[in-house]
Amino acid sequence: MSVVWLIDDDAAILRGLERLLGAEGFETRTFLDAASFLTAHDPALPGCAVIDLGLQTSNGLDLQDRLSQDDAVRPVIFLTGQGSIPTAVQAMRAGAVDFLTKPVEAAALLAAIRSALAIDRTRRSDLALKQEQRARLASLTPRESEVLQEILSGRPNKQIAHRLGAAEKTIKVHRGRVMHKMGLRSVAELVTLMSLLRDGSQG
Amino acid sequence: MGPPPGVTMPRLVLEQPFRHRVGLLLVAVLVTFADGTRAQTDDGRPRLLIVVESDSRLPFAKLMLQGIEAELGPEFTTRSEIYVEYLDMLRFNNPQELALKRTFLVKRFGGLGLDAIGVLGNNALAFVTDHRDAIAPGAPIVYGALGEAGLKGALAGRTVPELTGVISPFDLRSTLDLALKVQPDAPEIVIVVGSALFDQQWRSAAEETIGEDYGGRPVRLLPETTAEAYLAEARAFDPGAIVLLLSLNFDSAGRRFLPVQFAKALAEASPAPVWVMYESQIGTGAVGGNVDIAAASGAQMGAMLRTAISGAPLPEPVRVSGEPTVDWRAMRRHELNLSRLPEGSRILFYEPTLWEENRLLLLTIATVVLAQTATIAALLFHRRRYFTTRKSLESERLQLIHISRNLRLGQLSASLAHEINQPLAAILANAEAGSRLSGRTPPDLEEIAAIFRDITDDVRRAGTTIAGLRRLMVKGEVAMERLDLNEIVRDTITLVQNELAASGAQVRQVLSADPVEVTGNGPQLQQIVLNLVLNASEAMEDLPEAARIVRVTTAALSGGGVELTVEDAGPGVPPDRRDAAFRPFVSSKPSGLGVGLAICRSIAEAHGGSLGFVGPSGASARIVLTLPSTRAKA
Repeated sequence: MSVVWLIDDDAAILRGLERLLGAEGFETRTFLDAASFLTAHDPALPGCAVIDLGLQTSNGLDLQDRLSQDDAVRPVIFLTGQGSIPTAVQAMRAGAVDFLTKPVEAAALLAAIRSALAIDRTRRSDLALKQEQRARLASLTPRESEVLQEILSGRPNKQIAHRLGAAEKTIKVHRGRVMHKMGLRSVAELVTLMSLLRDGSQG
Repeated sequence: MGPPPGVTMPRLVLEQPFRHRVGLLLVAVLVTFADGTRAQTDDGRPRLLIVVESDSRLPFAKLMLQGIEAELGPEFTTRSEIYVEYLDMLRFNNPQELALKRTFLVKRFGGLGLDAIGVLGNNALAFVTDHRDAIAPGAPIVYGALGEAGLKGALAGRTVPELTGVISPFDLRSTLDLALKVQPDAPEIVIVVGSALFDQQWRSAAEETIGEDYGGRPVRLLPETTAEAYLAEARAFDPGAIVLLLSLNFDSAGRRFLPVQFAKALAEASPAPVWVMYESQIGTGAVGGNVDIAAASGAQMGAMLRTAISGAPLPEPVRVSGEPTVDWRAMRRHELNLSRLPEGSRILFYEPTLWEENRLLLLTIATVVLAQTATIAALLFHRRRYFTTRKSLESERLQLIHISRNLRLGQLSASLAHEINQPLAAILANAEAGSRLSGRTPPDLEEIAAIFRDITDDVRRAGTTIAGLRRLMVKGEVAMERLDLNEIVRDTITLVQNELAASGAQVRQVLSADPVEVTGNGPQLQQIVLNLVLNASEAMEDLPEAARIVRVTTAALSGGGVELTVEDAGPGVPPDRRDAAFRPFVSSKPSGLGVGLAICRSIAEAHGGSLGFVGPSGASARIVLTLPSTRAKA
């Protein structure tokens, strides 16, 4: 079950939103400040966060920044009582799903939450895939890793054999093992996958 | 009242031996002897025998037994033994049958040491008192389901010890009195009664107590005949007549009927209302009667039986009175007036109206609808407020740019927007949640109530914010200085020239020749002028452009104050709406300054002055700002 994390320093708003989302069947957790939210927050749980931009102790954008450090980046929806264009731009640039002004229409909020949850689901399944591929990559022997690097460089077996000082036949066997361990069938797939993993490790 | 003296009486119809019916009754252990000592059987359970004159099918007997059992309660009935025997005396009433019955009872119960015997019916009472010594020597007897006369007949002048019971009314006169109240115009009274021995007892009672005339109406006591003949005759009854069915267990052909069955047939056949003597016959189509409430009488018997089993002295016999009882459906069928019933009458089979029947459901629905409506109303109201506020704030901000960068309203309005948006956000979310929750079955009324409380709190919160803003607006750190009102007017109108041009209005300044000196805060006074002038120009949007003229006049008053008047050619503000116009967030125009006039008046008051509409409405609107003059102040 996805959880909608609600962070607003206004208890009345929290109650109202909690009721509204509860009535719509969402599971919610509410927090009056960023610190208590971060203490309780479990990045492993699917869901999204609805954050008041004007939190007193901690700026909502800072909180967003903090959340983006997790592996599974928590999708964030911002609420603001006094939205200015620069903050909205900044928030959206930092990956906010939506930027809504108070008082927010239920329909708009619910739509934003639904799309945030969809984004979260996609991210999580992508992440799971990446983790699986990293595990596969880690299962390669040093020799197979070398061969993999050579393949990525686009060299044919013969050249690789020469560079690594091995028989072409041996390289063929290594190559087969690499592809098998990575669960892939073509070099194209391998290239795509590796670039995806690299992006992931940077983000 | 009982049937006539000397006549044994109506009580239950009897028949059919014991048998089922066991479910109702139960039984006993401790036996109380006449001398008060108790015999105890092995298991120590109280043992109680109930002897019923009729067979087990008779509703009156069933109701009595249920009453007894209900009174004794589940605790008693589980720790005791209750036996029920049906003598069925209506069908088996000859001496041989009764001897058989006696033998049977003696054999079955003689050694058990019964603690008490309950008896239903006067003929059964006669039988039990005759044979008590053989069946359960000295066991107290509690009787019921018999009338005064029946009791007399059963005892036949004997003094029977350890005897008490409940005496039912079985009073045909009280039923006839009830019938006459309900049918005051009845031309005659027709009495139907059957041919069984027991029925005959009723017939005699009728002959003796009613005679040929009752309450000024002729009484026709139909002669004995077959059931079919009765019913055929009934079809020809005068619809206005009172028909009284006393009892019919056998017809003249010797066929057995349950009185309830015959009552039903008679009520169907007769165009006239049929009155009856037994509660159990109400519901068959009969209108009603002054009847003994069997369950209540049974309960009284139950209480007496409990006392009897405990060994305590027996209470005195109790005479119960009948209760006027009618069948609402039958009353309606015969178009009888319920209001003629005596107070306290029981009305059975009342078919409630839609409202009565579904009161709870309807109330729930009403509550939900109400809650929903209120929620929606609250939502709309606050949205409206919100938009009005927002517009005015934008508008204020716009003007303030023109007026003065020093004036703080610009920043204030941003924080004001935030402070108002917070409660509004909570209100909106709560209202949306409320409307969702109220659509559920069943609605969570507690939660909805909590929502309303929260909405109320948030509305107050927003109100407090606004009140605070107004104080801030007029009490902030504003510098008061000596100013010329004419100058302020000229400056302001220059500043807002663009807005005025856009609205197509021309401003005519009719300023006093001399400087009009006041002590005040320039930007604030500018704000008043600006609001008044813009309001005036906007009020004329419906007029042809040439007619859109705003006249701004300043003057020093002879009394010492100064006056600024802004007049337009618009429709004006009706006197009854003038006060409202100064309340925050009230605006008649989509582009109106819902807050403007309220703030202006606050400013005026902070300057020791006043602001208000003057003059009749209709042709123009004229608003006047009055301020104390510097001279007056000095």
